[in-house]
Amino acid sequence: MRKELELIEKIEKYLNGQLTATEKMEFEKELASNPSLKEQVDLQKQVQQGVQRIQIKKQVQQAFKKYKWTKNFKNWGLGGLSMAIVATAIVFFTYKNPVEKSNPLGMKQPLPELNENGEKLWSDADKYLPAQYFELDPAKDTVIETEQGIVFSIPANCFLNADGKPAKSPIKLEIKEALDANSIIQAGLSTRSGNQQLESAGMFYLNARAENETLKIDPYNSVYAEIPAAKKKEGMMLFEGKRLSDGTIDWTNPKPLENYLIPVDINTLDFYPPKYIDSLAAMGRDVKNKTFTDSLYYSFAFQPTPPPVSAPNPFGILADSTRTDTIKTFQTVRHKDGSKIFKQNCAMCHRLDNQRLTGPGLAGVADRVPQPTNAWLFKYIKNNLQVKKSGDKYAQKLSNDGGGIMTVFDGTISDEDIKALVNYLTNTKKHENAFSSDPVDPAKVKAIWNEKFNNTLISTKQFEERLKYMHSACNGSKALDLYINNIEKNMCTIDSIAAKTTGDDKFYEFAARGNGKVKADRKQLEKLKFYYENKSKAYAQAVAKTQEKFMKEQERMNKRAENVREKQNEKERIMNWNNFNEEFKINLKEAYRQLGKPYVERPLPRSTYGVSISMPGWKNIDAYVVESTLNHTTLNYTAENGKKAVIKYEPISVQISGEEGYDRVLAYLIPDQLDGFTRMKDGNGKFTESLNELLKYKLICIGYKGSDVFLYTNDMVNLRTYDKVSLNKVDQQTLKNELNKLKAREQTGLILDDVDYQQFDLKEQQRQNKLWDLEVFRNHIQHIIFPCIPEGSMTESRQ
Amino acid sequence: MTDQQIIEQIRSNRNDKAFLALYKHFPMVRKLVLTKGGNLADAEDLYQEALIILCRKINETDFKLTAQLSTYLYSVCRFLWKDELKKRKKFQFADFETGIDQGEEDNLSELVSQENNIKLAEKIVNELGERCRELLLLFYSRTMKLTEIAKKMGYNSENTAKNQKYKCLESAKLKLKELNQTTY
Repeated sequence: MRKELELIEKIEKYLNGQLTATEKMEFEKELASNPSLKEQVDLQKQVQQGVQRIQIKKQVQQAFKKYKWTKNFKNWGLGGLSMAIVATAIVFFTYKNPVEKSNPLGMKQPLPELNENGEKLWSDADKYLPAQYFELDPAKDTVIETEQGIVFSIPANCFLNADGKPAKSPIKLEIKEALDANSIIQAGLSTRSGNQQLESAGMFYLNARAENETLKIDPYNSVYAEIPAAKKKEGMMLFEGKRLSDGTIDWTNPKPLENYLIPVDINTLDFYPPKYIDSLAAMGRDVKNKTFTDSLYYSFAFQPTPPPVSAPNPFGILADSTRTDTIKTFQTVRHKDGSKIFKQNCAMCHRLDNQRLTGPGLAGVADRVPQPTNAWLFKYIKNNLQVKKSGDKYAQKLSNDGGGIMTVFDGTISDEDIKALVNYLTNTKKHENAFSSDPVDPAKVKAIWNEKFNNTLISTKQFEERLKYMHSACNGSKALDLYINNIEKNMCTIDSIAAKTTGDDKFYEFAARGNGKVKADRKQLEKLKFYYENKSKAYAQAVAKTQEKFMKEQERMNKRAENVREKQNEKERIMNWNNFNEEFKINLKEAYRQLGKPYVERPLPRSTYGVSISMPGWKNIDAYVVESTLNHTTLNYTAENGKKAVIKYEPISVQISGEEGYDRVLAYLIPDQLDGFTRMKDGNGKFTESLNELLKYKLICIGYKGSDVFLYTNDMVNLRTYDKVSLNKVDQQTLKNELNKLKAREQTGLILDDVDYQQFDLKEQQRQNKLWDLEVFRNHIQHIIFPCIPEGSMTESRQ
Repeated sequence: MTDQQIIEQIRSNRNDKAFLALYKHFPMVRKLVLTKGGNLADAEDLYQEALIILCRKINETDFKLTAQLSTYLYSVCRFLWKDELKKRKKFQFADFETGIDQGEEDNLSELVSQENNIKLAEKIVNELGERCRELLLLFYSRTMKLTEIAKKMGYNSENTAKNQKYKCLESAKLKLKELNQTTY
């Protein structure tokens, strides 16, 4: 051997620990001093490791293949082979697998005296494969799964005794399986059919006995077996096994494979749209509550007699001109408000198309602004400066884009109105594409998702897979109908029909799998079609009714709230007018006195509250007093003769501590010589007013939280600022008592009335908020259930 | 199979069952990769690599389990994938915790770079030519005796087989040396 090779041998011995202790020591000494030797050793080690890596990689890859294979056992039917057993037989397929170290299969198994043909002939396979036993009630349909994943579908009464009649006593089923090359080889099974070599994917043995008598399978009502295999190959067939005297099995009588489906309990399937459950869970809803998830999903059922171009809307009520006026008014009221509000407040600066006025055109605004759209628009419209200040980049970009400064509408437009406005703005786009789609109707899903459809192709994993696809495709409804209306056919046939009808090639993919049918009674299937049609309609109607009822109730409450509000507003208008009148008289009297003129009472014309200053017959001073009283500003008038009339109005501010914690806070002033109260102006929790020096005031602050009321009273206001006013919780009686203590004239009753009204109004606001949240929620869910309909398309109404 | 059993199997060169048992944890890793910018093939390759590395670590170092093997394996996968993302310059996905402390990460880092060297050697061996490759594999799988190998490869004597092996090794080493130099 060459020197170099000898060195390699030595290095190898060193790396593998095969040197003696002295040899090793010497070698290592040399290593330390000889860098080129070290290099050689390192290289060799590297190569060695490289080779080992190749080997380990192979092992990992094999393990992966095996892992995938065992996983496929759980995939019903996907790539699974299936066949019907006509007679008890040994069927043989082998799977090409490299030889691995194996389980001890070589142990002999106990055998009965006679085999299934009544002969005393056993093959090696019989002796060497372990059996699995199952007990069956022959009167029931049974589905069993073996250890290695073969599924047998055993119809009732399929095992016949010697007289050819179905066996009645409990049946003991014996199954042996060898699905990997390992087991097959160990069992001594051959891969020959006569003189031909076979390639196969697995074998099993099935035997049924009742009361020790071997049974035969009814050829007209046979057992169905599904064998898991990683791939299905063209031309695979079913062979019967015949025992030969040398202990081997010869494979005869090849038959082509059929492709039946195995039905499962329909309640174990998931017919919801994909992502439905996950989205609900992500929103924190209880997805384990099937009643909830079902009823929510079904509430999106399409309404009967929809007009051809409408999308289902979240409340399930379509703006259909054939429906009653009340519903229409509700919806049109929502949108009328929106467009009216827009015209009154926004139209001077914004157009609804792309053109810019002072502000940008609002076409497609919902697509531009940050998510969530509605919430962002709401806060921006309410107070765009605050949004900008809070660091919102989009808001800052808007202000940099030029144009004017947008009004802050907080305080000018109510929250409800802003919401209506937002709704209006996000719906002015037309959703053309959505209406050409044909999504799966929840009412139809409800009709099929029950036990009536057990044992049909509907209650199979294969159908579940197709339904999931139909949910996400936009043509699902037609396709769904096809499956039901052809429920007695092979699934692959229906797949082809669906592909042609919908023009969706995905169904060709399904068709290529060649899935067959479930064996079921034909009459039964016809009945089911009928059931499906009727039930779908019935469910849709029921849903429509429930939701109509809900909407009517909300509408009624809206009307009532409007009435109450109007009444209250009217009351307050009158009170304010009277206040003004009285205060004006007082001021005028005082002014005249200061000027040394005699006072003449002059009533103000009743019809005008904001009276124009240039009224004929009025002297100059009167006009100034009107203005001063109206605006609560100091009067400072000098007459021609040099005399002055001054009536001072001093500002006062009140700040309530912890005001963010309340649902609402209000402050009232009670002037001693007037009959009504004055509401202080609310500027973000700080109340301001200007006080007439001629009057004495009492201060009342009231806060609301939930259903509790909180109170502060001050008998005589004498400071400029009241900050950190703290409110105390009071019950109804205490509230009355405290207010009475103030000895206000008429005002106690008025304030108590106002408390009632505020509490009513707060409840109303809550109801509106809930409705809004519900609509947003349903809108979001709608988009998940019908992925083809774009999000944001809420109620479409005809105006 | 318990973790300890798995480790013992790997140490005694009975890797097949151990790997199969470890594949149980593949779905977790698959999810990691799929949600962090990879596809199914990436996940499969990654897991394969992680198992190879784990195997080497168990065999060559004094590997002691301080937590569940699956946890460790998962951390290794995260480490590897993070590394891979950085290599692919997909930084937007690469920002996640590997779940291993710094010391262990450094160990892993070294292990991975060693493995990369070994990958080079693997490449070389694969390019050696069928006979050499097969011969080396037979020797290093340690399942066949020398006489059996000689017989299988059609050599006249055991010595011939040995010599051939060394020649193959020599050739591999030369090529590797060249490759190492160009890589630097």
